[in-house]
Amino acid sequence: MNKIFFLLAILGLLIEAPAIAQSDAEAADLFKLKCGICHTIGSGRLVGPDLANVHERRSEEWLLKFIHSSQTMIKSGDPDAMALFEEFNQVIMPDPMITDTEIKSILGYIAANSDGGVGTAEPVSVIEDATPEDLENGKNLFEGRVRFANGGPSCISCHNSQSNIFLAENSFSGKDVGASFDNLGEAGVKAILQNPPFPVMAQAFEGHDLTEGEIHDLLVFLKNVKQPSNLMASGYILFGILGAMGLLVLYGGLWYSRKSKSVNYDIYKRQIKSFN
Amino acid sequence: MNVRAQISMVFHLDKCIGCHTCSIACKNIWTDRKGVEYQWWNNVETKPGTGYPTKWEDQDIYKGGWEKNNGTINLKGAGKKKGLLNIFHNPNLPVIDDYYEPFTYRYLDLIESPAMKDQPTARPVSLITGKPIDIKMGPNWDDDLSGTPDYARKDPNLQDLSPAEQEAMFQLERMAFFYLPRICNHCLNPACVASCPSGAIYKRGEDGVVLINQQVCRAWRMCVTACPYKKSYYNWHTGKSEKCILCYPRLEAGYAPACMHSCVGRIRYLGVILYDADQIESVASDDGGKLIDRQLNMLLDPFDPRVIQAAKENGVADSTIKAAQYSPTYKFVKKWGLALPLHPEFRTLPMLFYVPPLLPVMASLGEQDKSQGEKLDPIAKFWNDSWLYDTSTEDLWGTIDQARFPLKYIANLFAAGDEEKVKVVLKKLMAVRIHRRNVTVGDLAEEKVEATMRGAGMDVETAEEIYKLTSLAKFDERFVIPPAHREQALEMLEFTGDTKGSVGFGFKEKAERGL
Repeated sequence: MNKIFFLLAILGLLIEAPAIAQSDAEAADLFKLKCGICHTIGSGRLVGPDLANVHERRSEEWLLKFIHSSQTMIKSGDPDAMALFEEFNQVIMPDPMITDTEIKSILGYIAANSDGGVGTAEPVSVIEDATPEDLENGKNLFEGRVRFANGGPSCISCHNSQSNIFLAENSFSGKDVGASFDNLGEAGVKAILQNPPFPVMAQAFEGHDLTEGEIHDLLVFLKNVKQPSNLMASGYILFGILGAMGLLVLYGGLWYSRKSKSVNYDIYKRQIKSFN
Repeated sequence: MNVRAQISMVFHLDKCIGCHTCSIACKNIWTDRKGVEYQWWNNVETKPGTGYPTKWEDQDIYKGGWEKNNGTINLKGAGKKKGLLNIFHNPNLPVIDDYYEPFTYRYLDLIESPAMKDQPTARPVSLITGKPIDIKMGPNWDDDLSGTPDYARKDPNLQDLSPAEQEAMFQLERMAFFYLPRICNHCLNPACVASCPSGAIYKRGEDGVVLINQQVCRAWRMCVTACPYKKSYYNWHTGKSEKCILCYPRLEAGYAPACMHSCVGRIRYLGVILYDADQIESVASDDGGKLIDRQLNMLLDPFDPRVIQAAKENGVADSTIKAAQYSPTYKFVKKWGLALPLHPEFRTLPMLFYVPPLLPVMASLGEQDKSQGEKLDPIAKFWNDSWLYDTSTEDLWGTIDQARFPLKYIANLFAAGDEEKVKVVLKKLMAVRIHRRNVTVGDLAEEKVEATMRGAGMDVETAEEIYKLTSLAKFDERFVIPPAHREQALEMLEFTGDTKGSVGFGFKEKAERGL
């Protein structure tokens, strides 16, 4: 009887061990795919916070809700979610489109690995050796002058780089990516390009992956996109005020001799008023 | 020679009594509608006075008319370049306060008010806003107020007069004024037509009446700025500009315009004048001070066979040529040289002429009656000089020079400041008067009368003719209206055979019960 039990136990272990191992590997992959772009476990903050011991900081219910749709929570006014959003430069965390089970397995993975570091906080930059040609090529790729090798849509279909300040900010469906480098860092942007986490972008690039070279050139371009400088500092507003005053003076001079009031003004002014 | 026909007018200012009947006749027919309450296509002004709209003659304010520019003329405040620059802004327009805010009274309050301690009053209300207002101004607010510092002394025509001359004009008991009725001048070189960006204003070919096409007008209001006489007005309700139409529907039916028909003093004359349209530009651009002479030279003799020939070639109807031959305005303006255009210096070549007033009335009182002065209170002012009513023929011309109205003032109004022009006309008027006094009263020395007539270059027959047309003229002599030949104009637009044989009277718009 004991032997049978022991055998069964062994058998159970044999059956269960691969299952656990498999689910571990799956969770690791899921983490890498859905979270690792922006988060580390125990290696410091990347784009988003370090997730080490996150299961201790927040309740599972809160985590499930937040991971499903962080923006919904922020908009509903959850104080913790809003604080996080503010802390991390209002970078929107995309909804990862995964099931509760998957989230739970990822949380399990995080809990299991909270002691050791997963992911690196300071990824090695691949664009140190950028040449002007790379920059030019990146720009052309972004603007669709050169096609992506695998047929993906050019970035400008949805995004605005703001390298041209005359483009209206909201004239594109996608986010203005001009500031992406500052907010996400090279690793974050690179990860997005390699494996788009946003639903629309992911669908658009499904089966049309960017090549390493293209990603490199795009990164070079995005890093070098000129940000519109601070309006106040660059004197735009001062220039505007002075310009408006100058124009007023000019028009005042041009129409100095215009008829500005009724010819009878003086007579009317003298007259006694009975109505107001 | 490009002969065209123009319906012209003559207003005899010595006969105007300033009753405003003309203004009311016009208002009742044409401007008794919403949006045009403030418009007076015909108005009567007291001179000296500032007029309506206030100071309309001062083109430094309103920028109307033409100005000389390198051998040609340009519009002062409108035209292609200036018009385009100012098209949305139009800075020189008169505002409603320059005219006046039109008003009425709540007359019903007088009737419908319940019994109260006090009499009900009819409060004045604005015709624009409908709310009670303080009446600040009317269309003839300076009526008879000659001498007031606000109106008469601000008359733009006084600008060339010395302070002493101006003072003399406004002295108590010596002060005089006359009336100046004004309508659209239907100019030969109309600034309003030239200024219109939409091309809505046109001068009618057959009789020269200037009209605004209400369907083409786009409310730029350039004509309001451009017309130096301020006789184009903006209808704020319809968003179109309107002006005097010389009662063309009446003219076409053979009636005189309403203002002329109703004139109590019978001061108005209307008739066709033939003119040479080829000369318009060169005459309007004249800079030798001969503007009036040259304008009068443009007007052609309707009895000259060459003029008749050219007129016929140009499509002027025989009936129009005949009307021109009987035209009273031709006689006043060209044949007798008695009428002058109002402010010819605006260079629009106006076709409304004025016989200037012969002021003051020079009735003879004989010797100064000293006993009059003795009867007066010692502190009462008594004019001790003897020239005031002295019209003895010896110093007749001297009297004109020393008239109550400085010649310069009349010249500023009717002759661009040329006193000689006015003097010639006044001499003729005086000669006719002396002649008629000699005929009817016979108290003047024969040789003095003859000298007067000779001095004015007048013979007895002409003087009699002038007298008759001035004083005795009947309706058909004052208004010689050519047949309009609308049937020809209609046939040019549509083939009348199209409607021949179709149902009954026909309808321009569908009858309500349907056809």
